[in-house]
Amino acid sequence: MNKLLLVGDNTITPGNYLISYDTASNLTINGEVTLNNPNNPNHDLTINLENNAQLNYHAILYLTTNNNLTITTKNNNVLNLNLVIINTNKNKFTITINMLGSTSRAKISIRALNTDSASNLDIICNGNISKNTFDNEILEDLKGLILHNDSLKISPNITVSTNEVMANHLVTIGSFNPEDLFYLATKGLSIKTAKNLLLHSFVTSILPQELHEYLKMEVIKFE
Amino acid sequence: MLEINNLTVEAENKTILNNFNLKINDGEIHVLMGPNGTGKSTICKAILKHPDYKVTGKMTYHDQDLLAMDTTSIARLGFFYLNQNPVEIEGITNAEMLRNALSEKNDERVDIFKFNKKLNEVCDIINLPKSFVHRDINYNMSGGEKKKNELLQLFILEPKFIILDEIDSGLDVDALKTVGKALQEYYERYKPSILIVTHHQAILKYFNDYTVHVLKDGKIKATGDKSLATKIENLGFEANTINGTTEYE
Repeated sequence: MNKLLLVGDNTITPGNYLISYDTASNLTINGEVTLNNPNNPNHDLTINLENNAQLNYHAILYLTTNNNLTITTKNNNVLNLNLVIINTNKNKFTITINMLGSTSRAKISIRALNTDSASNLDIICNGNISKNTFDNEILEDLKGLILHNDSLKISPNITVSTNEVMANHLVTIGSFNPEDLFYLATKGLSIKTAKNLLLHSFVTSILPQELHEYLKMEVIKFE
Repeated sequence: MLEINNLTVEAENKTILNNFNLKINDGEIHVLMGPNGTGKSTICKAILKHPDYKVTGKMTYHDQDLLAMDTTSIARLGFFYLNQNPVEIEGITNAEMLRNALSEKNDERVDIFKFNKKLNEVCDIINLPKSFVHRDINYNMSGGEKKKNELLQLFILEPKFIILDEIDSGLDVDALKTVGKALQEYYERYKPSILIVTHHQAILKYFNDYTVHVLKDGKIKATGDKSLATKIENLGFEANTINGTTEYE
């Protein structure tokens, strides 16, 4: 995995990159690209996919301010977006997927939680499918985990301006499943260990193995 | 010995079991049979302190008060619960869960070489591919695979008291044979107490000696030896004459 420091406008050639950036950045993607972002420093990111480009974007976002991610697709694009959002303070995270061309697929997976009971996260996930396009697919799979008496809001907004599109969204927000906790306790696990295992599985389920080492679980405080 | 006296179990303001009594000595096998909805699964979960149930009465294991304990403590006493449809947990592997369970129970790090060796031995016993050890707990497994996966955990955790809630449900002939033989092997090796909830005799043929109880309306209405299971299978639960005398309504 090559390291890539993003500054301003960047054109990314095919490959597998570990990215970092200190300012708002604009990316243009050509060919098949995987971007792993282990620690987003709260700067906006805009990504444009050229025709036939494929992007796998995996990110762990330790959010401490409002943040925007905007991605635009053209024709024959494949976009897999996997974001783990670990939020502190009151913040809004806005994702916008603009599908301007045809025959593209976009899958957006998000796993989100707050680090403490005083934090408050508002996620808005916009999918805009333009008119005069056809055979596009968009799937939003958005999950939030409540660990404290914190507040988590997820809004899936898909705006469709064409007849020929497949658009789905799945949103769940909840605490640990009591049946999962009971099951693990019947095997002799303490509730604390059971919750830690479930928390770890929640955030790692959408991340590639190479990003797991960058997870800082210690920032999440819960009993 | 597990001793349950005058146990009442409620859920959502409804009484499911009322003044329920049961005694199971070490190494004994007891079978609970009865129509659907009579509280068989409830008693299994109540023993493990499922959070949905409010339980009153007396329940002890080797004179330790189970009602004063939480689920984790009861499991660490040696209880193991296997139900007909175990939960699927994506993202936690069997190995990860078992390592944590053993480490916490024994308060020491698990010797990874011994642990892996035992896992391999158990996979052979229950005819389970070794890859299952590193699969997520019951995730995307068939009904039969889930039961075998639970048996893998059973052999690693080595419980002294096993609760099997309709483990034979949904198993095909081959899977039932594998599960039955694995349980038979475990019983012969470790002589645990076993409480079996079932509607059928198929799983019972793997055990030589057991006591059968008929549960109806939240209470045990009849108790007998293995021949009672045969009579129930032939006459059904609604029959009011068993062995020539009225034993349950």
